[in-house]
Amino acid sequence: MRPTDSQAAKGSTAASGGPDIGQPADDWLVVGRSPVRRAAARFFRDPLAVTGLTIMALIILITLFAPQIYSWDEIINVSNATKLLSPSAAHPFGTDNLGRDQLGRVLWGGRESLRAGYLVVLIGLGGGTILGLISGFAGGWVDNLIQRFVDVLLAIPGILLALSVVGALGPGLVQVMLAVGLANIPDYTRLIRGSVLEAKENEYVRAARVLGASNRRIMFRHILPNVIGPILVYATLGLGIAIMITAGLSYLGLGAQPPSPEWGAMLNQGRQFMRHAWWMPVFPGLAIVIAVLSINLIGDGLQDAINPKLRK
Amino acid sequence: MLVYTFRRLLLILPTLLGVSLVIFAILALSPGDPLAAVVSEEYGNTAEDIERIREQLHLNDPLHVQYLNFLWDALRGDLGTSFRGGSSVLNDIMARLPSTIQLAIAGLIATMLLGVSAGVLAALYRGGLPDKLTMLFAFVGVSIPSVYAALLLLLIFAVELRWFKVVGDEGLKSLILPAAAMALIPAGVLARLTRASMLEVMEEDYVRTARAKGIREALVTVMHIFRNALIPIVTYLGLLAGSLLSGQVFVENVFGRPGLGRFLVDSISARDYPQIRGGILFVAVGYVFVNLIVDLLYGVIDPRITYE
Repeated sequence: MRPTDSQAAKGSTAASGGPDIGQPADDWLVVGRSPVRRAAARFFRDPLAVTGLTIMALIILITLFAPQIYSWDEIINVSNATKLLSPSAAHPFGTDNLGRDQLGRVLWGGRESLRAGYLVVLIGLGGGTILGLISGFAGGWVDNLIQRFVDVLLAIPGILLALSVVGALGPGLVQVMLAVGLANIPDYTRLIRGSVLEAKENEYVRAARVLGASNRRIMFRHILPNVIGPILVYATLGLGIAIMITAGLSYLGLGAQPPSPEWGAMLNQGRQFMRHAWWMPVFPGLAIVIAVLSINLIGDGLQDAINPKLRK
Repeated sequence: MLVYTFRRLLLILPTLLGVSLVIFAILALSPGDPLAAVVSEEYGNTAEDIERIREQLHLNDPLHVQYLNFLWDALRGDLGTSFRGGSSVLNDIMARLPSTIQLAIAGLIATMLLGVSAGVLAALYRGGLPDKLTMLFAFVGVSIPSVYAALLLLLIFAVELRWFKVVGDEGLKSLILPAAAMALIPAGVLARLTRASMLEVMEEDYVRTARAKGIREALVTVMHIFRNALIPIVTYLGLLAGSLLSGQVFVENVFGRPGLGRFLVDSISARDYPQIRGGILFVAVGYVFVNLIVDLLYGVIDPRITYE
């Protein structure tokens, strides 16, 4: 719907006395807009969700410009003169055991950790969407085959699946991203298949079929847009978990390797020098918590916006 | 109930078969030579040596033969021998098991105590301070990685306050910090779930009836509300097992506990394939059985569930 139409629609509903019939204030205002716009309107009226989005935007912005603020050399090169300095104006997050500025490392590390999180979700979501759509849409033996496979994968806890993939590929950040992403696929497959089965029963799908639409058209034009809401919520909340797990595996020495400033790798070094330098483990961990917290705020906001009935 | 239990036990067989196949397949599809980390010409082993060891370990057999051997050995309790040191993988696992089970139980208790009590308080004082604090705890709790929670607890209670030793075994006392770190995320989820479940049950007719009969409020809360609110909470226990397991892998390593989580990570770092494969299979099979027990528990807690 073009903006002019929606404006007109909004005007006419308001004129017909929407508020008088006792509708909740936030619904009569937005009647006539597309579901996406209505959800967006609800999302942006939620102060917590907007806070989360603002923090995330700031984090992305700062990490994008990290190379302009600190050079790679500054955060990698060893300097004996500045070893283990506590936080000060010159080094707000202190320096580490090799004399490197921790703030600079945390900012650069954000590039690694966030990118890892996004890629993990992308792998899980991509694989799960393809398998879920095929499974839910094809039915029959194809569905059966995929579902039995997913059953088995779901019987293995995600962390074990991820560990076995890292076990096969060997340690490294790329390997960990792949591992955690692959371990996510069964969850997404289940979720998307369920949504597809539900959406398939809708009349607009039957109508499209009667009109002679191809399977592919029905799948991508009619079903996918209608199942995307819950998937988006799940993927957002999954992003927070992905960041925590990849950082955790890096902490264990299975992911990013030194001298990488990845947050989990920084935590690992922080553990070793914890007795002498509390700032070494505290700041990179705080970065993870703030990033995950903002993502969870966005996720909860999305959930309320897409499905206002669930709101508590 | 007996028939149901028996059928569930039968149904577990294909699952276990699938789980063993997936784990074997993932590790067999490894791009590198599994032996490269142990014997190679770089370490002064001759090509004949390597070939002899490959033959000895049956690494030259076709994959399906290797899988069937692996399965057959696993069924007889033989998970292979470690590349490093040549010890029996099952013995290595058994040596680590007590520490892991202790921590799992401690983590479960901590989760239940923290999550259920916070959730119940939040529901009873809906909209009040306990409710707000619980929801804040639940929200922030799930955003703190267990590795970081563990580090912070160590930093505050061991390094600064010196209530605990940073390293070294102090018996049951040394379970407190790791259990708390493990519990944080699942307790947050559990608190939300308990609160929602309690609020739902409070609206039920049978609760109103109980009050109308003049039963004391405390008794209504425990016998009518809490008992029924437990059902979705028990359902969550199955998922909780996975969450605790993942917490365990991270937390054992932070606290240097010699458990299975640490065993897995060490074996991956050392690229010791028999240990990786045996360890992951062992934990996965254990997880399947834990879920079975949780499933069977539903019937005990909720007599409305009937097994035909």
